[in-house]
Amino acid sequence: MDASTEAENLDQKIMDQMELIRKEIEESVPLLSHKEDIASLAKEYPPDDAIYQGKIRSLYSSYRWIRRTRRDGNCFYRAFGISLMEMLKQNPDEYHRVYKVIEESKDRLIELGYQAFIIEDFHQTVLTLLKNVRKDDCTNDELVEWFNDRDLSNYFVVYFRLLTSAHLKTNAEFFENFIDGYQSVKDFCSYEVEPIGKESDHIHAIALTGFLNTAIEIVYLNHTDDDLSKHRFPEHSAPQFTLLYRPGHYDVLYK
Amino acid sequence: MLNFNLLTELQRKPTEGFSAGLQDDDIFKWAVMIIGPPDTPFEGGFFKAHLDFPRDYPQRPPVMQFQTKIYHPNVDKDGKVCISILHEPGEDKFGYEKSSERWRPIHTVETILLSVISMLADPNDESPANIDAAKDWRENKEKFKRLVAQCVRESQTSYD
Repeated sequence: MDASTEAENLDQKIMDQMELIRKEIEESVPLLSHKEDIASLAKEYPPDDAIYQGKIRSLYSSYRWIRRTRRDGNCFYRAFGISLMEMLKQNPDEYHRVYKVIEESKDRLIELGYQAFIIEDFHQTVLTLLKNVRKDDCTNDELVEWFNDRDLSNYFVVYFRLLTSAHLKTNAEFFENFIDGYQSVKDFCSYEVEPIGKESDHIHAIALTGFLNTAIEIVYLNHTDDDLSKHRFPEHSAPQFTLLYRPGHYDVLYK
Repeated sequence: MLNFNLLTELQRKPTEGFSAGLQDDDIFKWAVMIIGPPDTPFEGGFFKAHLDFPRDYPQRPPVMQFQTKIYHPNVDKDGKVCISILHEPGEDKFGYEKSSERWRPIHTVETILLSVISMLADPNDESPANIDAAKDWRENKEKFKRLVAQCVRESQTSYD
């Protein structure tokens, strides 16, 4: 066996292993969980990890529940999506405003060069979801179920990724300063925003909240500072819902 | 989920450089013909390929496989096209650079084939699927051109 075939075989083994791990995760964690007691977070970290345990205790004072998302690179959009729908269900004025933004978003995407026939299905899927939210008998459980339907859920993710792109591209002059390693905002969107499964960062949160004109808070649970840090998008706004960020992952927090 | 994108695209007018139709009556199986781009070693060739779409297209990319023999760094020995946009993020069989462009659900048959045409004109020898072809392309252009010319000739005789 020559060196290159050996290397290829090793690559294949590593890939098979990765695929197995991916499947295991997929089967053990739903795309979106039901609400769990926030206390369940503490069990994920060693009891003697003073920084994490301390931060988790201070989370208890403000939040009662956590809704977990699968770690598949789309967690930000699913966490954002369910929170947005739950908020809209409670708030008719916001509902009508956001519905209009989404309804008109297709034309904005077409103006930006996206092909109508390719975005149509994604747009319709999100509009159908919004129409369901409006119905009196729509329960939170039904929304969670919707987000656990892989096809529907991914169509939502695809469309919200496009909205994120749209805001970045429309405000390219501003965002150009924050896209290290990319020639243009357009490239950044093609490489880091639009592919399903690409993880999201600060800049994605700024762009999506900017497009929808919604306000969110992200609580950061990491090893860096002594206290929990919280960021609002946009800054100084009154948040409509809260996400929990841990390095590489977003979940939902509830009071 | 029924896929209307593929149906819609099937009815659109053809684009320069390639033609496309269904293999059978199955909307998920396309047969395409790529014309070797001018000013490249592939000029004059008529390369047949199949595009197999997964049931969850466009969430996931199709697989493209040449039916005509083609010697190219990014086409493996079975004819499979191995370019990063036909792979989802995280799939790294060919050691694509971290920042390489991955599959996006807004790609269409047209944009895929345009990428393949640009791949013919400009091979990526950093993450090759055919190591011999990558080596020849890098170190022995004359040999590379000769082997490609053979494929071009064969593609012309098998095309009728």
